[in-house]
Amino acid sequence: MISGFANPERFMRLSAKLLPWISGVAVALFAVGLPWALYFAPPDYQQHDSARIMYVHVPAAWLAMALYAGMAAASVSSLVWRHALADVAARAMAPIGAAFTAVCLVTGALWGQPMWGAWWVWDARLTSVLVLFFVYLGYLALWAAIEDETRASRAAAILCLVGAANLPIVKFSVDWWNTLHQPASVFRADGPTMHPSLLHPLLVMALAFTCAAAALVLAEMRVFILRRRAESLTLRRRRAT
Amino acid sequence: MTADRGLPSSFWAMDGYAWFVWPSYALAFGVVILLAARAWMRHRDAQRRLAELERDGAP
Repeated sequence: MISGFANPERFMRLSAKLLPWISGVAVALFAVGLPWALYFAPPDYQQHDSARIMYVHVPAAWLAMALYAGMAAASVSSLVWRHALADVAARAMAPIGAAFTAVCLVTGALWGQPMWGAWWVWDARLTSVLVLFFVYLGYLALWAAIEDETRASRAAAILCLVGAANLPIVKFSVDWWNTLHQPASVFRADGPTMHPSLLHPLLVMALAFTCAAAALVLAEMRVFILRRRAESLTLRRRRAT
Repeated sequence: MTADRGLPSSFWAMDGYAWFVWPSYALAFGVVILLAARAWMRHRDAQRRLAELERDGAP
């Protein structure tokens, strides 16, 4: 079934239909989530209104990890099954994942300063997210450095899989080490520990950012496919003349 | 609490955390808007380039 979607022609037709819908859903969810997060959700009883940073910081952190996990899955698919769209998908996710990781780091610093009294601490969670950001940058640099697309795709896929070892470290760093960063409060085996009045707007904002990220990835994948078509057309012309 | 365009001034003050809350939202939404604009421009350029190539090669 997945190999059916790996057909670039089919992907272009499907993504052209999906893109406006996903973008529209993202805008609608932001229209609901933003006033909820900034105005209607109650302030935290300890952190007061500074806790509203959570509604952008947490979705950015989730997306930073989810997009990297998506890149790793696409890299496996590219290396093992050589799916036509796998390396395109991984490459499209990288700049968006890097941007969300940067948002996570900066909003984390903006939240950390009033709560911890420091913009940055070399805590296991913060450091592992910084490493994730550098892995994203390395992946993008590798694609930019190697001209031959087949070689670049293979090298980038290997780097992505090596970097994937950092994902469980990011996720479980708060459990494995004593960190200043708080432990997970949503994705827990015993259920979320957050009050629904804070959890619901967080989930709406997370869904909104996820739809926005999905739309961005689809648009970026379409760009790479269109460019590939243009390049192969140029090459065919050169060979013919 | 004075009304400022319908919203209380305490809303903009964010309980004294305005300098941390507002830049966080500005950054997050600024990044999403920039990425969307970049994707839209790149998509438009790629479509235009392909259309030009197909037109040039048409019999």
